[in-house]
Amino acid sequence: MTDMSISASRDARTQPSQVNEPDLLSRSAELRDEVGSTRTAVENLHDSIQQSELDKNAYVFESSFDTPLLLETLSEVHNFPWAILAQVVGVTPTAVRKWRRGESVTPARHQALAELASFAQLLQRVDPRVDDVAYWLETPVASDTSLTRLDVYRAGHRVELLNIAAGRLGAHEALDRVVPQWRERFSRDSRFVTVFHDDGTPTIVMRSEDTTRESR
Amino acid sequence: MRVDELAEPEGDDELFDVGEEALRLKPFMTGDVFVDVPGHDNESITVMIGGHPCVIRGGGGRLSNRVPCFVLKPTESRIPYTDWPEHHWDKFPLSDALGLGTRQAARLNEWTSVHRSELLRGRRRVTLTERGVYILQQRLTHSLTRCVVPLTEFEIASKHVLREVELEWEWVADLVPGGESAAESDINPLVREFHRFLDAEGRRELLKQPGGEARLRALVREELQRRRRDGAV
Repeated sequence: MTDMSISASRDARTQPSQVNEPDLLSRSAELRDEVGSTRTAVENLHDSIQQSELDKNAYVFESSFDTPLLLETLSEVHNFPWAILAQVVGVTPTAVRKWRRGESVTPARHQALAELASFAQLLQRVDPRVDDVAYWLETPVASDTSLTRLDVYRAGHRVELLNIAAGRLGAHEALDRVVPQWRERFSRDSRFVTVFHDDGTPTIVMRSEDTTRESR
Repeated sequence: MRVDELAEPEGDDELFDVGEEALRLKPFMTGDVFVDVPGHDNESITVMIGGHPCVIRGGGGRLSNRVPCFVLKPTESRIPYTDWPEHHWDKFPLSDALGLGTRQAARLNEWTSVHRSELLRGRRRVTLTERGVYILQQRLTHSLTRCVVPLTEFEIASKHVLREVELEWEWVADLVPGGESAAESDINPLVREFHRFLDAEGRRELLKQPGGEARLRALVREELQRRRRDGAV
């Protein structure tokens, strides 16, 4: 900054403003409030469009795919393990494997599989770096909670997960919205840590500063 | 669940998988229940495998020579899931719906060592889900130490083995002739083949890498597709 510009900026601070200050204060406050409301309105609009997209795609999967084809899509395109599919739908892995062979499934469970296929597809559009949806879902929402994204999914908060994936919503902000008591009920117990020895054998130990082996 | 509490299961499906295919084709795992196992007095007993997944599985998908098991016995009264966090800490109750008799529970302080030759697929009556295994491990640790280790840590420590188990199950179920009624002699060669596939080209190492299990799952499914396409099934 030159001497002249420093002097000019000092003058600007010390000289009375050309505009009416109370007006400026209230106008900027109004503008800020408007931006806040607009932002909320835009967020709500975007969330509802994402929800519509999820519902629309789920309907396409539900009506055009039979259950074995849905399971094939989830297992071969999205690489889901049967255990995760079973958890999402709320049945045992054996039940899922039976459906794969064509045994009958309730409409509600067929719909749940269609919703998962729709979610997996949109998630990868929102964040193309997610190449393994099952692994992404099994990961905790944040390092200080035991809640996984799968728990959030099962609680029905799919749009929030899409917003997390897109970086529009922080993990803690999302948790505060969807599980307000998460800090009391689902904090990760930091006293323990699982370490893996060189041969891959795991040990659960009390955490200490000299926990130098690889932990996950 | 609070971090200082034992888990309270929501229902039977969260813990148990007793489908015919699981009982027949799923690899042996922690929490499996076997009937008609000869006890010390040559009386038949019912047991549940108690060892950690890493401990009970030897090379090539076989069980270790001797397997630490809990003995099952009836309890005096029914133990609802709501009681699990605060009571009966030395037991892992089994639902009456499993058909093992009324009010049965694995006694976490009554152990017996069973030779693997006694743990046959035909004697298996119950398998646990992945979450069921973690809840069993949590109750066992608490029964011995009064320390409540969070389920998350058991999951981290066991998941790689449980996912290997799931892939072995998928491999066998997709390739075995006869499905749920397959003979042990048809199943065992497929188990060995699966482990040879895993041991080749460093595939098993993928299980130890974060995200590696997904890559391994994709490789296994590709191989299963190839075998189906080539008419190996």
